[in-house]
Amino acid sequence: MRSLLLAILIGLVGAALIHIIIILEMPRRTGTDAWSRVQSLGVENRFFPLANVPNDTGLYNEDPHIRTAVCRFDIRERPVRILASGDVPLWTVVAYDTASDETYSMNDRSSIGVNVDIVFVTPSQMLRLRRFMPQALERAVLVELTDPEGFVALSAIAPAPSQEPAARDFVAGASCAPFSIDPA
Amino acid sequence: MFRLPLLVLVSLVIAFGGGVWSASIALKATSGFGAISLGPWVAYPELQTDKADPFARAHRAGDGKILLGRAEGLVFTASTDQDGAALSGRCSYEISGLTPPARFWTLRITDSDGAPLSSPAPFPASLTSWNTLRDADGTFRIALSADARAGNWIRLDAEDGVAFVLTLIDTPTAGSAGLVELDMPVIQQTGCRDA
Repeated sequence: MRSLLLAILIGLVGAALIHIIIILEMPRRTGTDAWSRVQSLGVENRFFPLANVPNDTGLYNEDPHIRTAVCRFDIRERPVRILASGDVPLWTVVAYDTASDETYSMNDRSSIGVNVDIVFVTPSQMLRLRRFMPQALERAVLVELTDPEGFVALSAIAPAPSQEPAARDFVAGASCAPFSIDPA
Repeated sequence: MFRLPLLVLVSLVIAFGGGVWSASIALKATSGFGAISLGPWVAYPELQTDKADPFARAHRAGDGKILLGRAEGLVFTASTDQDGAALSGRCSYEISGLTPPARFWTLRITDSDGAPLSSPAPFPASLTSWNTLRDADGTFRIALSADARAGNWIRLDAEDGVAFVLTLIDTPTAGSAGLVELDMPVIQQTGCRDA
């Protein structure tokens, strides 16, 4: 009898451990997290505008007045520069790492000028840039990321239906290209 | 002689069965900690950050949505009215008052699972801060009902439970801890259709 109680006790302790392991491991194993979905959209360094209706990718514009495009990047080799311009009342940018945790976000009020011009760099690339700042980056916002992989989501608002095309063009026309920091 | 294997089996069944069962119960019962609620409105200001708790992270990974960043805004969801009764697509509601300061906001309807409800073409399924009419003191009254109303109107015609989603874009509230001081619009039920 005592050994049965002991077996049940060991079982309960094991259950608690497995409970904790499941909860902690789940974010990495669902396969439906934001990072996995962005990965399955396609290649790196390209903005994919999200559709307006639910679809197989699992990603879509839930808010009818906000249009979003996402771009996956890897800055191990070269930094990535986000550029977008157009006539939208308000835009926002948010960067996520591979765990889908926010690493950086900003909106048009906190930018220099009215256009999106952000460069994501690794800490070592930042050191090189501090020594020699290319003229092209003088007005860009430099953001240091510790995780070299991730994705960026660019959103624009369309308060009225007539502003929809502008918002869609803004996010669809954004570029997310690698940028060479070596002086040519 | 089969005593020991049997006891080991009991331990393993309790460990795996209990662990999996309690984890699934815990994930169903909670939507994560760190929620702020203002009347019926609930928001998770740190859901998209690495400060989110393990339960919230598990939910986040399952939903797989592109969440709003801190500089982008904050999403409030209401699934009950001011008196605590669950929102129903068969009832009509009035949302009135003020929103916290924000440069832009939208109000839309989802089903109880969070999937957006759309309306047939000419009927409005959402309102924004740009096209909402206000009184002289800056407050607004929005009617949500199946039949059209004068003033601000969103069409609400569903068979099941619904939720109202208020998205604040570029709001100082997203980063502030003093959120409990804020005014949120009030949700009042104004009548129900017969089932």
